Amino acid sequence: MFTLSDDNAKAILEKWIKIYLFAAAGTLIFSAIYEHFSHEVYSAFMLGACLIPLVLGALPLAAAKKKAGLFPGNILLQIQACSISTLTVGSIFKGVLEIYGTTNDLTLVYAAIGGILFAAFAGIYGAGLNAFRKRAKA
Amino acid sequence: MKKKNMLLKCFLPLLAAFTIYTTLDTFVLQKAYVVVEDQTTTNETVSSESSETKSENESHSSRNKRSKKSSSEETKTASLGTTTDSSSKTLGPSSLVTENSYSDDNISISISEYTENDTVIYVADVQLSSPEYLKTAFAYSTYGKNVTAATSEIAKSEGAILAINGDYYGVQEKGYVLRNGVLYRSTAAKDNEDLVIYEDGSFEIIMESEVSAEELLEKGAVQILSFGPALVEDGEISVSVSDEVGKAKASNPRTAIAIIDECHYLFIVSDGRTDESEGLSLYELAVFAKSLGAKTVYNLDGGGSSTMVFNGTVVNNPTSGGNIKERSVSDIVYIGY
Repeated sequence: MFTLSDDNAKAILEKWIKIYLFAAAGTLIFSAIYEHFSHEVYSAFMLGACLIPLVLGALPLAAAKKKAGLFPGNILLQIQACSISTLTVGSIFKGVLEIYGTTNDLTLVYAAIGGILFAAFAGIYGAGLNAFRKRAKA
Repeated sequence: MKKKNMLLKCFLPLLAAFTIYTTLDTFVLQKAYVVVEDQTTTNETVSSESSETKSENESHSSRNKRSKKSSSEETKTASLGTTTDSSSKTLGPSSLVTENSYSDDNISISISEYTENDTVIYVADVQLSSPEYLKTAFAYSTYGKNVTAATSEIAKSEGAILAINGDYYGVQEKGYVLRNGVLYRSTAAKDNEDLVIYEDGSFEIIMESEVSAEELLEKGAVQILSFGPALVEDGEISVSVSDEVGKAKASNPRTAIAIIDECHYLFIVSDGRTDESEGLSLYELAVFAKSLGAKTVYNLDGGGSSTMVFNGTVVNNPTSGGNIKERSVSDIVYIGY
C-alpha cells in the first residue's frame, strides 16, 4: 500500500505525475477539437475534463513527493489511476451527451465508481500518512 | 511472477466495455415502449417508462383505445410499428394543390420563402376549419428510445400534407410526452418549458415544474411538445440575446411552431450551417416570427433535425454531418387527415 520516500519511489511518482500531465494535455486537446465542431454548443463537462487528471492526479502526487515522507504504493497508485480514468471518461462522455442535447442516467455510474475509488485512495493514503507521521513524532 | 499493474490492466477494459455499452444505449439500441396502431386522438394515459418498473395504469377513455402497450418487462422486445403509405388519406375534399399551396374545405396551407439575417426561412401559413387536423406522429408509429426515421418518411406514412420535425422526445429521458391525447411520459424535467396544444387548438406555454402532465390532460390538452424555449408569448418576445449564452447566440437551422389566431398557425423552418444560409439565433427567430404576427411561438428541435415536408417533398435544405440530407428524428408535427 505504501512505500518510503526513497529515490526509487520518487522516480515512480514522477513517472505517474508525467502520465497525468500528458493525460490532462491530451484531454484538453480532444475537448478543444470536439468543441470546435460543436456548432457553438458548449459543455462544462467537456471543457473541464482535463482538470481531473491535473487536480486529482498530478497535483496530489506532486504535493506528496515534495512534502510527505510516505508515498502511495503501487496498489494505491493503481486505484488512483482507475478513479481518474473513470471520472475523466465520464466527464467527456457527459460532455458529448450535453452537446448532442441528450441525457443518459448511466453516466451517474462513472461519477459513483470514480468517486468511490478516489475516496478509497485518498482515505487509505491519508490514514497511512497520518499514522506514519504520528509514529515519526513519537 | 508478479504481473505489473494487474488492477489497472483488468479495470481499463471494463471501463471501455461500459463506455461502449452506454454509447450504444444512448444512440443505437432501440427500445420500443408502445406501438400505436392508430394515432387517432384519444384521452388516456399509458404508463410505459421502462427506466422505472411501474405497473401499467390506464384512465378510462370515451373513445376506443387503439394503442398496443407492452408491460415494462416486455418493453425491450416489443417490435416497431409498420410504416405504411397512407397517401390515400392525404387529400381532403375539393383539394387544390400547387407547388407552394394546398387548399380544401378544411385546410389551407401557403408556403413562403424569406431571407433574413443571411438565412433562408420557410414559413407555412396554415389555416384550419378545426384543430383536429393539427396532429403529431412517432417514427414507425412507435413510442420508444432510438426509434427514428426521416421526417419525410414519417410524413409519408401518416399521409401528411405538411410536416415539420417535432421535439425529438426520444433523446430525452425526462419531459412530458403527450401525443394526440395519449400520455406516454409524465416524468417532469427540471426547468423544461413546454408547448401545450389544447383540444380547441389553442396554445399555452407551461413549466413542467409547475403543473403535472395529468393535470394538463384533464384540462383538455392533446399535445405537449417538450423542447423550447418559448420565443414569443402573448405577442411579446420572451427570449433575450443573453439567454442560454451558448445556444441562443449560435446561428443554427431552426424549427418553430406558432399560433396567430384561432386555428391559424405558422410552421417555420430555417436553413443554416451552409454558405447560403448562416442560420438564426433564437432571438433572431423570435423577432422574425413576431413580425409575421405570431402571438405564441415555440422553438422545436433544430440543427440537423430542422425539416419541412410539403406534399411529400422536402422544402428546406436539412444539413446533417456537413451534407444536405435529412436527419432521422423521433417524431413530427403535421397537418393532415
